[in-house]
Amino acid sequence: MSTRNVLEWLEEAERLSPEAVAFDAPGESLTWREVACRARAIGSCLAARIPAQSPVLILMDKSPACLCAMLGTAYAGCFYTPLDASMPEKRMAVIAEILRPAAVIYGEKFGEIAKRIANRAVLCGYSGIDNQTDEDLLRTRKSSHIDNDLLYVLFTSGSTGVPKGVSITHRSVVDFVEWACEALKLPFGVRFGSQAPFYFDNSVLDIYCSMHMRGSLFLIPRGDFMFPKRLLGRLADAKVDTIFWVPSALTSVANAGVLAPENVPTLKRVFFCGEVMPCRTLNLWKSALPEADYVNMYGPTEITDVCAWYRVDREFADTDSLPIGFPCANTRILLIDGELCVGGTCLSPGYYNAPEKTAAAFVQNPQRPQIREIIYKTGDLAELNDRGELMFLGRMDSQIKRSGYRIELGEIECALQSAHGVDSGFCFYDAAREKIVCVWTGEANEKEIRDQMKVLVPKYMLPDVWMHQESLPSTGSGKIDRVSVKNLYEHSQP
Amino acid sequence: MDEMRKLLDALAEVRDDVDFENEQALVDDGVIDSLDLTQIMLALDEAFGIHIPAGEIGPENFNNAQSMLDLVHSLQNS
Repeated sequence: MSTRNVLEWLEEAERLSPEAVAFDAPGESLTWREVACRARAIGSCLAARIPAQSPVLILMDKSPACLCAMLGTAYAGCFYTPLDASMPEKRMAVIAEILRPAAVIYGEKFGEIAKRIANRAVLCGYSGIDNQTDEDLLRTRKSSHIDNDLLYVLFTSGSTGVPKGVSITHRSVVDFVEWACEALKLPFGVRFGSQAPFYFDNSVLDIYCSMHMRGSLFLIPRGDFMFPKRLLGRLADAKVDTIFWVPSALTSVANAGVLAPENVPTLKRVFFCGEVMPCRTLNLWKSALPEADYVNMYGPTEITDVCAWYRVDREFADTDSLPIGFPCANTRILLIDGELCVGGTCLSPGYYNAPEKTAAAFVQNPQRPQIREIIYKTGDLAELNDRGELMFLGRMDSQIKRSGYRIELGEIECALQSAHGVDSGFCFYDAAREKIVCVWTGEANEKEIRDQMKVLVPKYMLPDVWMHQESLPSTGSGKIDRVSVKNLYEHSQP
Repeated sequence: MDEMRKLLDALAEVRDDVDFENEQALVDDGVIDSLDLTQIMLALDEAFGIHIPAGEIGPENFNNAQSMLDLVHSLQNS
């Protein structure tokens, strides 16, 4: 029988590896048995108070306990939304308004915020949930479960400023995780070092692959990412063998000059997703860790984390673009007027409580008018290279026209990021003034970068405005916070 | 000018809502985030004319004002 509920993996791990570490962080650790027992207790508490298929908001620090709350929600037949506890309370309130949670599970220090945003939801302080399990109640919830029931709703920023809740079913996660464990050749007992916050969908791979492979997930303290040397020390001490990080995190480690074989003795798999991976960063990692597996992945939250992947199987120059490769198994990728569109079991059923936004992005496949087949329009541009690999070109809204030329900002960024003396950088278009603005950090000055870029991109693609920054802010998920930098630029304009 | 005063003035430019004089675990308690940290490194660079190597430092160098001053001294003497 095929898997219909991600909890089947949890129960298998509990049965086969009960005393093995499941989730840990410095100073705390839970085994698979402990996670399963705690999750059932939380599930019982919720099931006694709220109906199945209700939204549950989780307001906790990233911790093993938070994972128990998420899985406990699934035991109650409900779905979870982890919130970034550091986001402005106003945005939390907007999300709560869209989601209308039936319950809020909160960590001790978030009690006051939880009360203010809960509205009519049942409030459950995590430490106040006792360890009793109501087996009958959980069995009832389990028997009414179908694999199209939601597992989670993650909120992403909408272009209009109103967050969108991307809903994902058990079935999509099962489809994705079974693919990932096989394609990424994950061994039993794999040990992930987690960078992604739980409100960011890269964490889905971390959490459920470690569960399915009866491995473990080590939660790296967020502060470690400020100190690359300490970060690598932590990975070695925790014996992490697999990481799935945003490229920005990999770039900052590479630029700090701390990558050396003796500093990453346990690492075997380096996966990345969420941003464009600069080949220069990849090459720095490969020279320190030549034997590791490197896999580039691509996908928006709406298709369950990843829909295309590329295992690095050849050399790339710093100035090359890395392919996003091929569709994952059981996934269809169509290029419609250059736009990457996705179909398959991975598709979200839509944005929660937002039918109009859903209808605009999830549309009938125009190539299959005979039958209802929904595809998701990513808003990303892609093409096939001459090897038949998918190449990411950029966002559709980052495509600009200048002097009749169609320009992809992504191409300019690729050239910028490959330049010597540039640590990180990106480009955006100031449409009002018709200027390409380039932002970078690193030692190189404008002329040095311009000279290097001139041989890589046509003259009409060279930036007009050069904005050197000492550092670039990052978003909660660890990507470059482009919006803040753009705002900084806007404020500096007359 | 007293070096500690100079340091505290530089830190106040970065975050005027943090009690740099008395906080002892700025990083470990999450009082400062990664953006604050890069701005602090820049401020130290400007105030004392030193360059802080990103790969060499740890949270212990930034948990309180005294440890930052110690870091400055060690870099000035190196």
